[in-house]
Amino acid sequence: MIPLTQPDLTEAQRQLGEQKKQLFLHRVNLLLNNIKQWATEAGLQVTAGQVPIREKFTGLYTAPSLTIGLPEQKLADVIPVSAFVIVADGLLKVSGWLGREHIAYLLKAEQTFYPIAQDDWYWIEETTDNKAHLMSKDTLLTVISMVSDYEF
Amino acid sequence: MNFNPLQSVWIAYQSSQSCFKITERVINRAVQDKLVVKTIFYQQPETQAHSFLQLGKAESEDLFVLAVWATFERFLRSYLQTKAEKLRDLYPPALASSFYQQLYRELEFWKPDDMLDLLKSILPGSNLIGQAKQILEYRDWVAHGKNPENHPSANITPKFAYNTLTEIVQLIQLN
Repeated sequence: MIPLTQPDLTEAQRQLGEQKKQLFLHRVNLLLNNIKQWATEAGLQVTAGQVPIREKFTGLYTAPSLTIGLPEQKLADVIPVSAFVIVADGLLKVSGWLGREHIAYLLKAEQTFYPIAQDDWYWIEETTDNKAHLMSKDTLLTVISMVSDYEF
Repeated sequence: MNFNPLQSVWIAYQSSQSCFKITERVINRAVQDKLVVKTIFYQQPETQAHSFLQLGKAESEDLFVLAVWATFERFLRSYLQTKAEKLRDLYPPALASSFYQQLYRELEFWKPDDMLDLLKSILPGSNLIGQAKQILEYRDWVAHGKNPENHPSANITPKFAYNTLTEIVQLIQLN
């Protein structure tokens, strides 16, 4: 039986974990609301779900997720991955039958790899160059195409 | 421009990811196709073939973190061994040579954590070393069987591991 939280954490670490988790879930909710709107505008169907996440400083918790598709075909799942991640301040993945892409919350003040204008969610393009694309309706549709081969 | 030893590992990763995509497309069309003969996917139900491929993809991401760390660690040991060559100029020469040889050999066994601490002096004010230690922790977690009761402090994506370690390599090469 896996314990819900790690037994060897200090109180300060637990508090940090809780704060970071709450901020992560708040930002995830904002992003998922935008994604719902963008996908609906593009004529796609969106279904809400939930996923379990287990992290060292938070233990087990539940986060909201989305499934995006056409009436007869699922295109992608948008799944929160972790509040704690290097380089970024939260991570989601978009998975389809073809592949997986990452969306990360980048902080302008702490960012050294990606030239960004504001704190926000970005699609991290996995090329040799460092390209981060601010999440928007166009970016969302590009990411869905990347993981599903579906062309809009 | 200095040579980045990590770049070939990143290209290998991108190459393997591209192979996975091509295979997904092949499976989507026909698992029985000649293209999958003599592979694990041959004559498998489509869902099973996709499931095999998903396992391979997930594992390859973690193995990439392992590989890029290993290449980084090799670079770091070689860098420190090169820096130690100055010891050969010490007086008396008989001591200098054996002193250097001893340190050169021992550098192969230095703990990665200690080597990262040494780098703090040439990367002041940067959180790169902290991020590198989190990559090391993740690497250890993968290498020791991904204990579900003891998760690493932070999630590591292949791209972010490559970014962080490449940045450190490039900063070291300036010194």
